[in-house]
Amino acid sequence: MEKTRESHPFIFHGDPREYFRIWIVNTLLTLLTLGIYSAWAKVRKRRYLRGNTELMGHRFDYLADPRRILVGNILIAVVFLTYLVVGEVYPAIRIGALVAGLVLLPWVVVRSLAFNAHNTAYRGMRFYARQTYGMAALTFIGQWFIIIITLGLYYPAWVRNQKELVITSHRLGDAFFRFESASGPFYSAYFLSGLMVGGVAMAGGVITAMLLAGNGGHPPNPAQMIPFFVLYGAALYVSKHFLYARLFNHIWSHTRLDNHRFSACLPVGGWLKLQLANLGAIIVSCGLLYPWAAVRSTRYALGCLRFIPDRPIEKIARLGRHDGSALGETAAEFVGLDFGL
Amino acid sequence: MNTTFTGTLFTGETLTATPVTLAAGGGRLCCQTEGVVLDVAVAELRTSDHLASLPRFLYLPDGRTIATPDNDAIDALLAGQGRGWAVAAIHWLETRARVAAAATLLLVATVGGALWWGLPLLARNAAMAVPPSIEKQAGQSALLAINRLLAPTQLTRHGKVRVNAQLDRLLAARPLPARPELVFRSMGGKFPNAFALPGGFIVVSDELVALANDDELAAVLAHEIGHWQLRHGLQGVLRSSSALLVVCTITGDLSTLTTFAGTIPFVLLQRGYSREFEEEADTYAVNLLRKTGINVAHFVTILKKLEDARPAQGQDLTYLSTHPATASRIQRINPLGIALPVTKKPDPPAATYAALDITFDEEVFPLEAGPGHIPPHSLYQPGPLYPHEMALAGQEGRATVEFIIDKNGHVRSPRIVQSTHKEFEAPAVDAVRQWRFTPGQIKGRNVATRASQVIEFNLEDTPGATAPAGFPLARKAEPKS
Repeated sequence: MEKTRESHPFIFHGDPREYFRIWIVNTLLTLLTLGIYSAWAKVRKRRYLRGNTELMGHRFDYLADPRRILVGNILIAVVFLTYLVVGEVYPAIRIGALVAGLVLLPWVVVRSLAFNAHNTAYRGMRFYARQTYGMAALTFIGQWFIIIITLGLYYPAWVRNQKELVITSHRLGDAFFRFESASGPFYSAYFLSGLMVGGVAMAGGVITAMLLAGNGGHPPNPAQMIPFFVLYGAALYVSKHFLYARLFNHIWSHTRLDNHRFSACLPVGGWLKLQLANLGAIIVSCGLLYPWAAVRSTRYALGCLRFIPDRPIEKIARLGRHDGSALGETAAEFVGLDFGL
Repeated sequence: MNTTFTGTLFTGETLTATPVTLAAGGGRLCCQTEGVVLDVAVAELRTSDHLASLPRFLYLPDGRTIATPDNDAIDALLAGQGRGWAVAAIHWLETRARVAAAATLLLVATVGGALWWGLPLLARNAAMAVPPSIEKQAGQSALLAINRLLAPTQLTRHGKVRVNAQLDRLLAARPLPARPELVFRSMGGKFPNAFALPGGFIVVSDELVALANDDELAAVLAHEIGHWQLRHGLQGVLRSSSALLVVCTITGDLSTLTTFAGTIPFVLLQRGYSREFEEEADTYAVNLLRKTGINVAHFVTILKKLEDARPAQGQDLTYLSTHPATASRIQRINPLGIALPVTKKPDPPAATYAALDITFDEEVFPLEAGPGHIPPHSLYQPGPLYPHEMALAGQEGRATVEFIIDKNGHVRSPRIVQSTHKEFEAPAVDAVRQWRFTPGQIKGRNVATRASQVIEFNLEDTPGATAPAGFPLARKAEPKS
């Protein structure tokens, strides 16, 4: 076995201007076709990001069939409208549908992961995500009860368990992903970001008290509260990205593909600076610069990620046949879940 | 036609990558690299779409994949088959800077247009679809909010009957499915105003009733009926909350509207209706006035009167602050400039405090005039009317009023000695003027007494509510020489 392992960078070739052109044209086409084109737009946008990612001289590929995403979109729209219409006539249905939705959630997550993995390929080989509904239900819903019992103290561990479930269900050929981490670093990351939000919330409390005193005991009017809301929103945004950078580094550094490793060293300060600039650009441009921000974020994050093979990766071989439908993935996007790793 | 290009072959069995040279011709794709067997009909080949300058992938029927950076060769290959023209078109659009610029403009225009025209249209349809029962509920919830903002009316029965008579006059000309309900409120003596709430509640301020003659009252009522009939209040709520609008439009569930209707009065007092709504209501009013046989010139005169009644500065809560651009409205309402016949007697001059207070020349005793003196005792002491603009601003304060209690127990010559805010002075004097006392007595004879009272304006008290009769009169007032 070699003593010194060579590490390989992930190289991102995406260009903000190029992606902006693709994004704007596809968004407009989606709007003009009343949403029907959204499936094609989504595939093109995602393929641009995956296809521009290079590892060890070869690009990733995204192979999803837009027609299947379209079918999934239509199905979900039908279910949602049926729920609205039936719920109007029999309001009791609404609670039943809520329970059904909760039960279906793990299935949606699992299907979406499987679809996404199946349609991502590297060197002509597709990724694969095992569809373990029971485990997903236990992790995503069952552990909620532990969170409730522990008054939320279990939350960081729950996040860790989710990541573990997601990572370990993936494989590339006969190489399985593993996740080797305890909950400790998750707790420290959440503690620090909680401290940030809590500190600002306390400062906000002091400001409110001062305004109250200044107004002679009357609640301050909303206009006076605006600086506080801005401050609080900024704190939430910063703590969210602080958390992202910390967990990005931790999770990737503890992820294994068989015995191959990854290393990540996303600088927290640099990442926060980038995200604040992105936020500013998105707000000023009313969202038009979102694609520009997306490319910059992807380039920055991937630039900090390296792959350290344990043995020649050419040895990774195929293992059985598999397939997945677009339905799960569209459901996940419709209800606003995002499971990008 | 033969073309050759290079690429990388992946077997799909392992991650091994093999560089290959490929040749296309005669509808087939062959591999020219030693040791690789590849000969496939181009028709059976699936390819990834042309996207930016990403390398292309060729998916062979046997599960192998070829990656090549040579986009042109693949495009030519597909073009030879008559395939891929739609994707080529999209790729063409995606690579042109001018297309991107045009798409950006078009996108902004589409979204902006949807917000500018589509939203009001949806709001109108949704508002018109609201059943009367829900509209009434929304109006009631708005009324509750009104009670928090405006003081109770001080109109006499006669004043109320006067306004109702004008409403009947309009309804006789054009019957409505339900009679609008008039709600009288006081707005601190300064703000002639009227506005319509959903469900046919028309709020009329005392000050408007004092300002307008009968025909003018009818004109204002006709305008407000227009706002109600065209459901401007509901449309405003729906416009301001697009989320609510979407829910209402898709589900047809309009009961949530009532929750939001509480904001209508506040919005109306602060910002008023949009210009477009005002013009619609004006048109409605002009038609109704014509039908009733009222000269539209009355509408113009009341608008002018209202314009004159606007306070020069400070918070403007008059009818016109919510009804912008009087001149252009007058032009629309009365384009021919029809004038009123000059038969009206001039309005009596406005009563002023000075005119009401005739000089008091009897002997006045101080509140504590020594032995044998029985001080006056309060019989009736209504509280002051909280100035509306001060209540909105959350401003509290006090005013000290000095006055004389005459031999009959009436208040004479009240005047402000000191006050925290100018706005509190007139309401304080007005309140004191209504007070009644048992007159002070010296040796069994009624005498006039000088007294003073600090009037507190506290928001904790219900504004304008009558204070419990007989709150103790301030004893610390010193006699004036």
